[in-house]
Formats: sequence, structure tokens, C-alpha cells
Amino acid sequence: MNNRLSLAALVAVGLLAVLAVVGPWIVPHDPLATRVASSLQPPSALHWFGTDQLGRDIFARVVVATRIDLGIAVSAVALSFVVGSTLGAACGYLGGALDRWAGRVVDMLMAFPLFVVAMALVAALGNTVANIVLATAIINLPFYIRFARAEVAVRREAGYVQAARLGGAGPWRVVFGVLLPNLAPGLAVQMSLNLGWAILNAAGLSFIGLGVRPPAPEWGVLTAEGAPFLISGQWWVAVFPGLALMGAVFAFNLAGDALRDLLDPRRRT
Amino acid sequence: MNLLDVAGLAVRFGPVDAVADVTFTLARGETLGLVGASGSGKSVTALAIMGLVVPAAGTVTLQGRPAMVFQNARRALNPTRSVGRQIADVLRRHQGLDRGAARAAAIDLLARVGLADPARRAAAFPFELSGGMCQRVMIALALATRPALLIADEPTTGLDTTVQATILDLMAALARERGAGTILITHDLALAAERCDRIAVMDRGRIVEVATPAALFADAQATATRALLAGLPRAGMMPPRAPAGPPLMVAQGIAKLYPVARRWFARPSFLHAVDGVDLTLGQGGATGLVGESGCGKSTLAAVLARLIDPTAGRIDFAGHDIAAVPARRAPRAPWRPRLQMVVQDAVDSLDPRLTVAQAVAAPLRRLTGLSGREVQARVAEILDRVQLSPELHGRLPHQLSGGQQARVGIARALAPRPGLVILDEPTASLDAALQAAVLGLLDDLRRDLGLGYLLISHDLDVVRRLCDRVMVMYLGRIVEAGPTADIFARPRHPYTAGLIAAMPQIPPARRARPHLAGEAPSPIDPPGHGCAFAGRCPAVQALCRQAAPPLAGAGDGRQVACHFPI
Repeated sequence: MNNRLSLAALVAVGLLAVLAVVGPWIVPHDPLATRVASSLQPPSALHWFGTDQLGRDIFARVVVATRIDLGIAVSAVALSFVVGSTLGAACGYLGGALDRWAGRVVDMLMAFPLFVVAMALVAALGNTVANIVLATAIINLPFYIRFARAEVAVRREAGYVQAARLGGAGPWRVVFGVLLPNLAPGLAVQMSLNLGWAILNAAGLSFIGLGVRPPAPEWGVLTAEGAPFLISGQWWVAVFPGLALMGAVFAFNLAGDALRDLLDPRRRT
Repeated sequence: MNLLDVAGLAVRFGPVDAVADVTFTLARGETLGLVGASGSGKSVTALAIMGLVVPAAGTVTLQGRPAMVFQNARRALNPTRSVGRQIADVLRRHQGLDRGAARAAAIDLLARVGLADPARRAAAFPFELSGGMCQRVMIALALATRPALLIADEPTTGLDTTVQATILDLMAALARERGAGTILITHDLALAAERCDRIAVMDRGRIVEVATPAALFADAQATATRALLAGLPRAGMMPPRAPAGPPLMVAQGIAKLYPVARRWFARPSFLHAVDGVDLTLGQGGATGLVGESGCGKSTLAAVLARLIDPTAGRIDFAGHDIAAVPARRAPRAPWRPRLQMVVQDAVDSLDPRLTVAQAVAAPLRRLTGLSGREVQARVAEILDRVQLSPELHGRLPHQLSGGQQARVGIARALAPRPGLVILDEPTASLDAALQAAVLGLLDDLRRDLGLGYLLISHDLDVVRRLCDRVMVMYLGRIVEAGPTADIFARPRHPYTAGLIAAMPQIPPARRARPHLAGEAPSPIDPPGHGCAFAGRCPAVQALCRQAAPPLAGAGDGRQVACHFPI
């Protein structure tokens, strides 16, 4: 449908990935260097996004933050994708006790506001990056389990599954070799949407003080630090990290749609 | 004046001429058959008459209102609204009735189209009704507009022959009663010949021939007509004779029960999908298994192919009791390559991600210890055998035609060199010409490779063309079995006789035939005593309601389960 928009989204995601890798080496200023003399400067040719209360360059901090934000989101989504789709597909194909128990656990998890679950997990397990990844992965799990379970349950009696069984494919091969690859387009969309959401979640945890701690640059931390200055008129301290956050979420959502179109075998000619 | 006048009709979709220069007329009370292969422009012509597509040229003059009965009624009905309401909606819009009057009129219409207990059926949703009942509802819906012209687009595709006959009888009776004209769209020339006053044959968007059925059969002018005629079974065409071979598969006492969700404190209920079937399949022979939808034939096929586990019974095949191996372990059983199945619905049976060559190679690689190169060679060989040319080998399923998809399914099942192949409705979605081609191919393959076939079909004609033996299934049991020629010549069970009577005949004969009334009773907790067919049997007697007849020998290798065989 919208090829130009899809291309833009994929380019934006690619750009984010590049920034995540090379960010620290290309920024014009040290993101941690404080210079109180030039604190709270508005955007200028020297400091593109201005400076914060300690005189640190906000552009450098926003760019460098890409790595940690994307790192958390990608590892969390990868973890929930692997665990969730495997478990969900197994539930959908095998049914029985496994399906009933996994279903109950998912229902229980979904009964709480997911951000509160993530908060509780990080608070209980300790304030580390690994635990943010874990908490984000756990609250995303239900979506993968439910998606994979529902899609597999629909397809388990499909003709091509029967044909695969007649062709010597046992339960494991049917699930991993036949069913999951057919869910790939749906799962890719889910993952891409989830990446945006996971970034938001990680930033949210940091924003309220759980997770990445200052002075490490992270979009949630940067936004939290800048929030008090919005009232006093230094909008750039919070707005630029916020825009980066928004842009990343937006790019991943659009990329999800683009990916779905690319992966659908019916669209190949 | 003619009821309908179509002159120079043309419809274009982008650069494609879907229909070009179509001209015909229809008189009041006349039935015109619009016949042709898939994609010949039949449906587009109908849509243009209905005003649902805009013609690029030509005129359609109709005295009165048209109404259309669509293919696949269940999908054409709104699934979230009860059928009574859907009819009432139309009545309120077209006849300006108020809510109460529309409801009463809807129930009246449902009674007219022959639904038993119309007041209760009116509250039912489409998914609660059988395919035949949904088609009746569609007809009621069409009648609600008081049409002068009824267009029926493949109205009985996917329905049993018995149901097809009653639906078409109903449409003819209703049209006669109202003096309405009918256009019957079908790819089945035999059906059109039997039901229509005139037949218009379409080919690539044009009408190539218009004639009465008799003239058409006597002297077909157009090439397209001859192609359609070639796809029809000949009168007196003899089914193949059984070759003498050792038994390949012997099944005894096969039963498959499904527990049904039950109410609290109630006795557990079971759906008896297959209820004690014994059968023997010979090597190199083809056995047909026929019956109406829901009789359990597909369940029996899945049990025999070891896709699902039977509740009881024993299946001897290749020196094993294969019923003893759970279906979950069957894929790696040693006999798996020898027992293959062509699964129903070619479209759904192909993994959308795999190319033709991959779809055939994957099972071959798993089932046999062949090397990569040997697999490639075997794939090329079998694809050549089913007449799929090399340029198709890299295609994905959606890039294939229906006939090609069916061939891939057949090639995939035959590649591991099985001894017995179970075919579940292998030609159900194909039009007559393609069906004839695929059946011819299957017959050649069986002869050349010495295969045994078990062919499942609701279409008796398919079975007659391919099988040397027939088994007739009703409500989970075999009611008659024997050599095909004998059974078609002289059915002994009243159910078999009813099925055969419902088949369209070639050459067409307009005749009053006894049709099987009603539909099979529910297989949930069937009556413990008495013949299951007693409720529909034209020759039912007191004994039939007391004791179920066993399947007993009736001479000449025939068996019949009836107290009073014909």
C-alpha cells in the first residue's frame, strides 16, 4: 500500500540501529562532561539540542542513549518472543494440562496493570539493567503466548499440517518446522510493535527512578531530569529526549506494518 | 415480450474483457442454463444483470425485479443475525411490512422453502443450520423480493447430490408457481441439461453456443461445448473390474466416538462418527466410499490413514496392527511411506511458504533415507508423472491453478511410493473438465504403479469412474458394499437407490424420481435399536424400528445391511 511510508520506517529503524552501535563515537561532545558555566543553554549551532542544568550536551546524551534503550528493548523482546511463541505454539498444538496451566498464568499476569507488574518485578529483583530486561520480557510474554496459541490452534487441523504428518513430521517438527514459520509474518508485526512498547516501558521505569540510574544517559532518565525545567521555560531539556522516544516508537510501529507486507508469501509474485 | 433481454453486454475489469458481446433472451417461466469452465464469465454476466457490476457496453432490459441465490449459502448469509431476521429485513425494505408482519411472513417463506419447524428455524443462526438448510434460507431470501427473475449461481456446489436434487426441485417449483424466469449458472453440464430448457455455453467471456439440451448432446457446435461434453461420463460407461490381489489392508470393528460437551449430572453423550466398520482393501484395486456429508467417511479416512486414533478396532497393514500405534507416533512408523493420503481441499493442503518442488521433497526426505540428489531426481520424476512442467516447480501454491494444486497434492502423496493411497474428495473443488483430467490421471497412476486406492467422495459419479468396489456409508456404518457395476446396476439398499436416483443422468432425462427426503439424523447418541435409516426409508416396516440389520452377504461378493433389500 504505502511503499514510501514503509521505506521511511525501515530507514528510521536502520538509522536507530546504526546510532545504537556507533553513537558514542560520533557525538560532538562527551555526554557525561559537565560544564556548569554553560548550563541550561537553549539549542544553538554549538549545542544542537541545548544543554542541561549541569551544562551537558543534550544532543550527545540523546544519541548515546539510543544504545541502552534499544539494547533493553531488543533483548527483552527477543526473550519474550523465543519463550512466548515456543510455549504458545506448544500449548496450541498439544493442548491438555500444559495449555490449561499456561493459560491460567497468562490470565493472572494480564489481570494486573502490566506496568505495575514490571515496577514490582524490578523493585523486588533489584535495580539493574538485566532486571529491566527481564521485567519487560515477562510483561510482554502473554501477547506472544496468546498469539502463537490462537494461531496454532486454528492451523493445527489444516490440510498442510495433516500432509506434513503423513510425510513423517512428528509433533515437534510440525510445530517448529511447519506452524511457527507460517506465523512468522504475524510474529514479526507483533515484535515490531512490541519493540516500540518495550522502549516506552524501559524509559517509563527509568522515569520513575526504577531502572537505569543517572547520570547514565537514557531517554526516560533524560525526560525525568528535564521535566522540572518545563515549568521554568527550559523546554529543550525534556522535549528532545521525549521526541527521540516518540520517534523510535513510531518508527517501530510503522516498520511492523512494512515487515508484514514483506513477509507475506501471498504477496510474492 | 421477453422477460429478459440482454444485448451486446460487455464488462471490463481494467484491461481484461471479463464479458464481451453477450446477447440472449429469456421468456417468462423459462429456465436458461449458463454453462462454462471456471473463469468463462458466467458469474460476471449474472452480476451485470443484477446491476452489481457496471457494464462497459450493452443493455439489460428486465421486466420486474431480479434476485440472486449465491454459491456457498452459509458464507453469503450474515453470521451474526438469525435467518428469520435476515429475511424479515428484506421484507421490511422491499414490501414495507412492519416488524410483526415481516416476522410472520419470514416464517411463512421458510415453510414454503421446505424447512421443517420454520418458527424455530427462524431463530437459528446460519452456523446452526446444515448447508442444504442455508441454501433454502437463501432461496427464501431471494423470494422475499418477489422477483421476476431468479439467478442461481452454482446453488448446489458443495452440497450432497441428494440435497442438490431437492433444492433444484424446490427452485423449479417456486419459479413455476410465480411464472418467474430462472438462470441457472453451473459448470456441470449434466446438471444444466437436466434442469434447463435452453443452455448457453460460455467460453472466455463470450456465449459460443445456445441450444436445447437435446440438440446440444446430439450435435455440439462449439469447441468449448465439446470440451465440456468430453468431461461427462458416458452412458453405459463401465466401471473398472476388480483385479485379483491379496488384501492390502484389513480393518475390523473400527469405531470413533467423540465425547460431546454435556450438562451437569447428565449421562455422558458421544458422537458416533464411525460406528463399527469392517473393510478389506485389495492390492491394485480402487474402493470407493460414498455417503452424504456428515456420515463419517472423512473420519474413517483419517483413522485409516492413522491421522487420528480410533476408539476401538484393529487395522492390519503391511504386517502390523497399525491401530496399535498412537497417531502421534505414526509419522515415524516403518509403514508410513507405504500408507499415504491425499488430503481434502487442495488449496488448504499446501503450505503457503513451500514451492511445488519443496512441498514434494520435504516428506520424501523425512520418510526415506534418500540423498539430496536422489530426492531431487524422484521429485522431478513424480512431478513429470503428474504432468506439472518444470517451470511450475519453483512456484508457490497461490501461483497455481486449482487443477495444478490438486496435482501437487497427488504428487506429494505418491512420491514415497506407497502401496495404499487414501484420497479424500480429490476433485471436489474442480470444474468438470479439470475433474475428468485429474480422475484420468489417478486411474493411469494406479494402473502403472500398482497402487491400491480408497477414494472418499460424496459424488457417486467420481466413484463410478474410478473404483471397482463401492462401500456406502450412512451414519457411521457401512450399509452396502460390492462391485461398482453391480451396485449401480441394481442397488439393494434403499439408501443406495436414493443416492443413485439423485445423480444427474446423461443423456438428460426429465423424469419424476423418488428423492431421499430429509437429512440424516444426528449422530449424537443414535437410537440404540432399529435401523438408522428407518426415518428416511421409503419402504420402512415395523421390524426396521425394532432391530438394526447387520451387514450380511447378499451373493456375488455383495453385502447389504437391510431387512428388506430391494
